Amino acid sequence: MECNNIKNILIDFIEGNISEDIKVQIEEHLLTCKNCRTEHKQTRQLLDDMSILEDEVPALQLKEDFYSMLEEEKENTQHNSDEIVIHSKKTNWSFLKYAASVIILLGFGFLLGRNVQMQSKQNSEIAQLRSELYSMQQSATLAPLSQPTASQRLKAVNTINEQIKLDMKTVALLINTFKSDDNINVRMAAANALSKYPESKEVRNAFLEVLEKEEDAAMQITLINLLTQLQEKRAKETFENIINNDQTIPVVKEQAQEGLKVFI
Amino acid sequence: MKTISSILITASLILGISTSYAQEFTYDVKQANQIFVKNFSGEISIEETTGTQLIIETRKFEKRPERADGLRSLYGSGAEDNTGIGLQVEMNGSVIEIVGASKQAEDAYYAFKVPKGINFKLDYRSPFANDDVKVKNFSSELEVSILNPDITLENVTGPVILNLTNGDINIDFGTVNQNAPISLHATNGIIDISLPANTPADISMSTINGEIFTNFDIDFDKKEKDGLSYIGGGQKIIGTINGGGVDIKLKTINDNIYLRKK
Repeated sequence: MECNNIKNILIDFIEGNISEDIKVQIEEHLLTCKNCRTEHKQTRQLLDDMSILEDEVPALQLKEDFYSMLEEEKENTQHNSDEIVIHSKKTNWSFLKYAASVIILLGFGFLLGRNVQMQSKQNSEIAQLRSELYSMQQSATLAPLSQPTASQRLKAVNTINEQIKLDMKTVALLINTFKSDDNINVRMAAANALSKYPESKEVRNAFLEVLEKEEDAAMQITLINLLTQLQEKRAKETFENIINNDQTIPVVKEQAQEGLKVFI
Repeated sequence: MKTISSILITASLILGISTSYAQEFTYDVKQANQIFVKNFSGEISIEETTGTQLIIETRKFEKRPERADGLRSLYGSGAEDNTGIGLQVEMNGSVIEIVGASKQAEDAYYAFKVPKGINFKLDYRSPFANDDVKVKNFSSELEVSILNPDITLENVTGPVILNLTNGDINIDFGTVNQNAPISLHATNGIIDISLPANTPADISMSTINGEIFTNFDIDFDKKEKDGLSYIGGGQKIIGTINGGGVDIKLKTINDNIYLRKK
């Protein structure tokens, strides 16, 4: 089973809303795939955290406090009314009923308020958790782009490539890696990851800019293919330059010629 | 007759050893985590050792003339031989940088014995570098770029990042490290790799003018539209073996790919 498919059904898997055979497949996959194991662990953690928050109810203490408060108030009122009774035999006893209902209403409102407050607190905490998790994922994937070893940087680019949607900051960092990484394999992986963002002008510009100066044949071919697929008309001139350049190796020229055909 | 021949063999062995000018340079790797060899065109082989010192052995290396005593040796690139075997070794942060620093070093043979855990990076893009690179029993990261010769890796685990323009890539993998990717590019050469049969991996293979051969059962990912299919021919295969695992990317332009199960 493919990692991407698994990521999509990971939540169902954790919550057990999944058929037995798919469950077995996922379990087998998790044994062999470290990335998915990490993803599984993080998702489970997030769900655990969220479920703890959702289950939070007004504390028992709060209820007891409310009733003891009510009793106290009742007593006070009783006491006061006793005094009233002493001082005036004409006391209207229905006053007590009003007082009690006011107190009950107040108490109820207080509880309700607490609840609503808690609910919004929960929501904001969940949102905060989410954003923390997101920024954690982002920094976890972005930091290694400046790692000293090529394989760590390549791994970072691959991880970014697996994400569904990237923010502008990540795209900018990828462009930077694509343009200036020390290792050609890492740059090529970054180019492939960037090709998912054909609508981005920055990405197209970066492809064009690099292709004009590129000397590595494999990179030239990758970019010729990407720009042709993106139907980037501005690439025509660059392709012609590549074809007319004596330094270009034959297979790159062929690719550029094939690319030109698409534009005509 | 037997004794005569054994005497002759022994004599020639002794003679051989005494005339081979074998020399050795050792360097304490301390806090270093990478060795970076560049501006270098000699012959090179790399192997992992259990020790904590980097050992560089060379053969047929002639010592400095006595006349040079008290003088520094200068070399075109500005490098200075500080090893006595024609190389300059310098620590730069956590990287041990090694460059060729003498005329003799341009064609000499160097055997690197690298302590476990130290990554090796080799820039062999000099057009004067003509000898095949050989690596054996290596479990740290290898990052190599080569213009002309071939490279042969034996019993390595990855991560391996190779970029060759004209040479072939031959790799016989031991148990593959699942923690970091393998990425191999050979523009005009073949890629021939053997993996243990049970290696879990996500595999991507592409070539424009070559063919792809394998005896692995590959689960092809038909939905994957992630990469590019080449315009005007060429092919790209994306899939998994043994349920998927570490990323392995093999890419050639003009030659074949051979992916073998062992």
